[in-house]
Amino acid sequence: MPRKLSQLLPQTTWIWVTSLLVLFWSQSQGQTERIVSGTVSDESKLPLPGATVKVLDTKTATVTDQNGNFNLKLSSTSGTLIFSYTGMITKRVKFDGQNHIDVTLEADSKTLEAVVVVGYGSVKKSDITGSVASVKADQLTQLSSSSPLVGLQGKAAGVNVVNTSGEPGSPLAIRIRGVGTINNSNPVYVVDGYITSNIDYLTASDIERIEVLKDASATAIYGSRGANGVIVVSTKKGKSGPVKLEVESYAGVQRMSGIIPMADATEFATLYKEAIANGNGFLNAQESAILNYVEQNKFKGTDWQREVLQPAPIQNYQITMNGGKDGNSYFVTGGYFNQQGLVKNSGFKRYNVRFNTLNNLTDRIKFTSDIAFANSFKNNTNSTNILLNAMRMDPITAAWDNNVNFYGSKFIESTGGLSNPALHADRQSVTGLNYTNRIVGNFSLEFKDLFINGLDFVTRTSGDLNLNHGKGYTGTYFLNATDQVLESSLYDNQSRNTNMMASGYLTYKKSIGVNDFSIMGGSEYQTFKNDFLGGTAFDIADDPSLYYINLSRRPTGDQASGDASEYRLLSYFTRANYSYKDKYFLTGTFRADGSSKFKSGNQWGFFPSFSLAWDAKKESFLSGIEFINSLKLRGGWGKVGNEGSLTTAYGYANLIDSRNYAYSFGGAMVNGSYPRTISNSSIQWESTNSSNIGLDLRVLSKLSFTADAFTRKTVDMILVPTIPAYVGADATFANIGSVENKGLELSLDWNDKKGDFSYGIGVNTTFVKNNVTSIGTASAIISGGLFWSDPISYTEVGKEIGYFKGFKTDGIFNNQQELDAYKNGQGLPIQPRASLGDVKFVDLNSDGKIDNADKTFLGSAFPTFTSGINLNFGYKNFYLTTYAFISKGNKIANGAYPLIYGSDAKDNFSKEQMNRWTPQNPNSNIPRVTSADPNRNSTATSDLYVEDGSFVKIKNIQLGYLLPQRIAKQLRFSSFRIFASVDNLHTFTKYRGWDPEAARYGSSAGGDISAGVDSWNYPMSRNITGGVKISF
Amino acid sequence: MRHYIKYLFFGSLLFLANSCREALDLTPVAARTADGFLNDPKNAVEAVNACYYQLLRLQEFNENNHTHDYFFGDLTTFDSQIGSTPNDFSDLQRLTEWTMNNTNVPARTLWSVGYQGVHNANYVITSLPDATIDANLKSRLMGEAYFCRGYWYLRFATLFGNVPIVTTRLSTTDFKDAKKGTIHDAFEQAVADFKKAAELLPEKSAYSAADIGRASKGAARGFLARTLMYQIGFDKQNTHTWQEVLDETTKIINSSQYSLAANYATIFETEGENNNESIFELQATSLGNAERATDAIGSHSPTCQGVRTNNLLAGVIVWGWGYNNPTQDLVNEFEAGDPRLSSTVFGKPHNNGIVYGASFNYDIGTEWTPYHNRKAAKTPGDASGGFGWWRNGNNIRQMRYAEILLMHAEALYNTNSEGPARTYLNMIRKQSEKQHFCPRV
Repeated sequence: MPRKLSQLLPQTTWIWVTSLLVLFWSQSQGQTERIVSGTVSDESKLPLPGATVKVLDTKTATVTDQNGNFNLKLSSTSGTLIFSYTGMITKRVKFDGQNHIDVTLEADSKTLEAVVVVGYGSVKKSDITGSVASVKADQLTQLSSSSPLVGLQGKAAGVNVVNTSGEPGSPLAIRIRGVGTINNSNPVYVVDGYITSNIDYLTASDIERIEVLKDASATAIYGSRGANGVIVVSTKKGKSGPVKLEVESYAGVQRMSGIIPMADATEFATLYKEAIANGNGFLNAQESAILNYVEQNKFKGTDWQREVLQPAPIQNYQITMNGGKDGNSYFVTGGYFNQQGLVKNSGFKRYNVRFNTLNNLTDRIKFTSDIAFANSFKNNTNSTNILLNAMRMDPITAAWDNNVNFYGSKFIESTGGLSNPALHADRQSVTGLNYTNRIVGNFSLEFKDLFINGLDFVTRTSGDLNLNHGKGYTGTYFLNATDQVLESSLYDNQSRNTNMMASGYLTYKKSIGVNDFSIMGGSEYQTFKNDFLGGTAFDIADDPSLYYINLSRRPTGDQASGDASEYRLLSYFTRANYSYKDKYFLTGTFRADGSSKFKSGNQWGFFPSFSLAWDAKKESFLSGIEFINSLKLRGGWGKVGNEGSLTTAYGYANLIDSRNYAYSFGGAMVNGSYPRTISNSSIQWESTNSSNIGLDLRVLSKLSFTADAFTRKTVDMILVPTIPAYVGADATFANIGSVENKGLELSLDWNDKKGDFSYGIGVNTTFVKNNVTSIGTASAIISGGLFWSDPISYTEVGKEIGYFKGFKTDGIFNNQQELDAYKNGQGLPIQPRASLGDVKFVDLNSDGKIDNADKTFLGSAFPTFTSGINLNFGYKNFYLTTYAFISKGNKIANGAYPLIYGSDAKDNFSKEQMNRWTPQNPNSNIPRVTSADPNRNSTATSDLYVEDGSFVKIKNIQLGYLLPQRIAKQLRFSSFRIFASVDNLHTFTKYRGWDPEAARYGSSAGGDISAGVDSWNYPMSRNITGGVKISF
Repeated sequence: MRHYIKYLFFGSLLFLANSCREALDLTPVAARTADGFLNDPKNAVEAVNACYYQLLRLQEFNENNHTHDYFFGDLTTFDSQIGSTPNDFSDLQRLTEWTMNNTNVPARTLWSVGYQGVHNANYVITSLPDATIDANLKSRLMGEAYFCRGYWYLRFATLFGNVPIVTTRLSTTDFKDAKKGTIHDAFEQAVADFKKAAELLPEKSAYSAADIGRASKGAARGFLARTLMYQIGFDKQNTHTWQEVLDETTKIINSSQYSLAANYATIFETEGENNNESIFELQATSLGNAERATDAIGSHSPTCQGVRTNNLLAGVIVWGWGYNNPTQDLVNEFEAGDPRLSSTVFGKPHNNGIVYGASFNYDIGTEWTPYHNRKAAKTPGDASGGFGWWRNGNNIRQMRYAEILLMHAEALYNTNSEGPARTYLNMIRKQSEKQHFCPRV
């Protein structure tokens, strides 16, 4: 099919062609010579020595003398002079034949006041109309972690940052203002203008500052990318001046913060025999003999947690060099990070390099370039299984069996396919090697005063290549007939993501009297391509240097797989700002986004927003009140889209599902294909409407207070509708759901100084209420599968996404009277299979039986509120910072319940089970143990699974010392800081699992729809580190 | 000059606006769309293969959703007990107690896999008529799809009774219009499908060696006869007669496509696959270690029914899950010296527990009776040892000529022809007498 020429031309070409043309035009100049002189002074008529005077578009420049006077040789009779001085507003003065020019420069209030990056431009903090939170660099580097944003946790109201796992290199889950969708709720990142969903190529020390755009009036300029909030990242840039070298490093050790008490071998033998006896099960002679022998000798057996866990080192080094002169500056940094995991053989390693330059090509044209490269290695361990199996494995089995000089073969035949976790922990050093190389280039040209004063043009091109290489070797072993690998295998997979972005926008600013206008408009184009190629081969010798597919010793059976997809986004956007007397502010934005993920006709989404703000302090009735420093009210509405909600590039198309439907005729394999999913060509954008009102108050020059109330309503939520099995095919995505989030954010900061002592307190709290308002025709979306039991997470109208549903229990049947009394109207037992010591389920609908209709709301994984508390203290050269993260009201479905706390005998038991119900211990509230479990104590999802997951976690405490300037100078440092730090110092919680925080997204497959289902995820470690930061 | 540049600049903005409008209409890469898919004869055959895939899927690697014919056919009768460890797979216990509900894994899996089979057949039946492929091939493929759909409605009728009758591809919104049919409707749909298949399909001998195992005219007629007989027995609204059964079986007998196997003992062995007695079999092929679980074309049945302990058979360790233990009651049904017993059961009390010349160990703790299913025994050199438990290559026999003869005899008897009925019955009896375990010299 012939493609149009316009399609073949790289979409970025126009930007570069245009930019070059403008560049040449700017360089044109005349040729006569003359001298101009004058004086530069400030508003109070004091001369300004050292001010720069420069002729526009030339290299001709000079500096004023002690008296603020200058002399400049000119090559033309007319042109523009630029007067600049640090802290003053740069002034341009046109000349046409004059010999003398005096200039007064005004103080720049902008430098006094923070500027906030809001997307395609920046505004003064005081002019902001939407809800935007800013976080500075030093707040991001407190924790020892590979993630650049881990320090964002607890720092900004409405921004909920949760570690999905303690596994080194694992991603964060960031949710801004609740969970708006059952689909992708991840915010989008804008790194110096480049829009991406993943910033793992950056380190925390690459980041200068972060702006979190929270409400739709702030994010709507990003249109279809804005529904989940936007995190605007500004990276560190070079600063003019002499070369500055900085070295920072920390190193330390990570430990488990706790071990779950499990039954030892003797206790296990007792419990297991009892469970088998209660369940009328069968023990063969050998099993009985072993159990009795263990009991008689009071053996302790294997502590599997200690077999697979280890203290592990962590280290980080970062070297930075920056400097520049004559309007050109550079910044170069390189780093190395290495974190080994608590689970043996897990770990993450990264090298990163970043280089950026800033060149003022002329006075009006600025060129910036930024190239970042990160090379990382993560050992993708099967840690969930290993950790969980370490809990489940019976303690009688030996980790290492000296008799056979190999790992111990399991003693109990469990239905769970348990395998010696020590073997798998040891062997996983090569089972899941994952290498990533990512290079991101970001280039921009900025033109000032293009054609007319006040008209600026920015053009940007970004390229992002992400290469991922996964490799894993599974070696042979033989433990027993059902636990063995007879032939080794190797997979080798390569995937490549290539994203390109080009954008250009014009900004025009104009002031007429007390009216300030600015208008911005532009377009953007982004392409996403990914492809995958993988292979598997068998029978490869166990030697890392031989882990290559060509070394397969099996003549046939190599397997190959591949895939690719592509999609594009095209956008037009505009923003208009108006302010009156710097008192009333009005902002309107509009963005049109077209996506190739939808069928022609449904491709375009339109995302408008409006917001206003009132600076009340500027009103006369407040201006006299001294203790109020500022008071501002904000309000806005906007509509934004969720581009990431549709995970497939071709959701609209009727696709044939190939392969995997094989059959054989005449003894030979034949392929089968069919359209497995029923297509939906009318699929379109999922979008969110949100409203926000807010207040910013600063009093006594010490206390800042911000409050925001918001609603977010997601409509046309993309869901796979539930269809009956008799349709015989899979349903595909459709726009059928809606979700509402309402919330309140409060943040309070107090900073003060008393002599040598300074301190700061920051508290922020977020309340979010999540409510599903529609899921189409389905009555519930069921998710959150647990081991051995019914799913527990339900998404239903009127409740939170993925809330927990199950039976209510009312203790256990402690005695015969209680059991006999539990009868229905017909005098029949309500739980006919129950015995003494079994769980009593509540017959909620009083229909005389226990069935699914008795299941009810047992809580939600979403907290009622989260809070961050940040404290810092300084005394002379010492400082102490600490912060805590609080999550209240969230529930956790403990995935280990049916396995180790439950009453059946598939696995090892929690030590708590020693206090189970027995005829001799009839007052216990812990159910009896039984291998048969006819009452489904363990497998019927009930409130016994659901635990209070509220916690207070002291995330970090850091003590530092800054070497006094005098000593540092003597040692030839410009500054020298040392610090000691503890991460995850302590967690206050009632939750019985390892870590209530890691449990939040414990089910890796499920995401928000299965939030809080803890499959005993990799817990976070307590890290004790020490470090230095030295500037030369 | 300046003006010129201005125009160029804004012109280029417009250029961006225009050039990208088409940029959003992408042709999917690495994906085949359904448009015109069946116009390629190879694709049309693949679409029909996907119908067969669903037939075998129940018997092979299917994650934890195991469901096998004998779960319903044998375990729920006095012929066999569940087997395996006492509490393993409690859903089977519920099947045998007749206390299963809609969460019962074997029943639920059969329901959903069956309707996926119906869907795949419906896709072919509704879309293939418009395809531009060769008319003969199209006719045969249509026949195969009708056969597969009929196969499922017959199973639905016998296992579930009242089920929705779906004969088109339902969209995600019009499924509500599907009406729940009665057991009569399900039988009638099967009858209609098998009749259509019998009309369109070629005889077994017309298939090339590469197509052995596809449904044939004889298979369609045999399943039609079976359906009619079930209907006569179970369907209160039935309007069919024994004469119709007789007509179908007569046509099969007269087609000269089939005869009884010379040696009964070979029928369930690998060497007896697709033999002259075979009407229809689910084709299972072992690709050895090359076979991935995800696209299994082997059978899981022997592993599921194998002895739950390790045994060395022809140099390979074989083991199983121990389900489906034939009862003494079944064993007692065989007259003393009936050679077919050795082709039906094995176990410690029978023939010293020897299988394929190997002396087996038996795990008494997991045996509910001392017997195992000989027809599903692991075969020497079986690739379903070790971890490839879905890789057994022995076909699952669905209908044999012997059944045609029995149905024929029964139809004769019920149409007042007892004499000829006896003749056909005795043909089966005589076959067993000819059974032998060693090659005759």
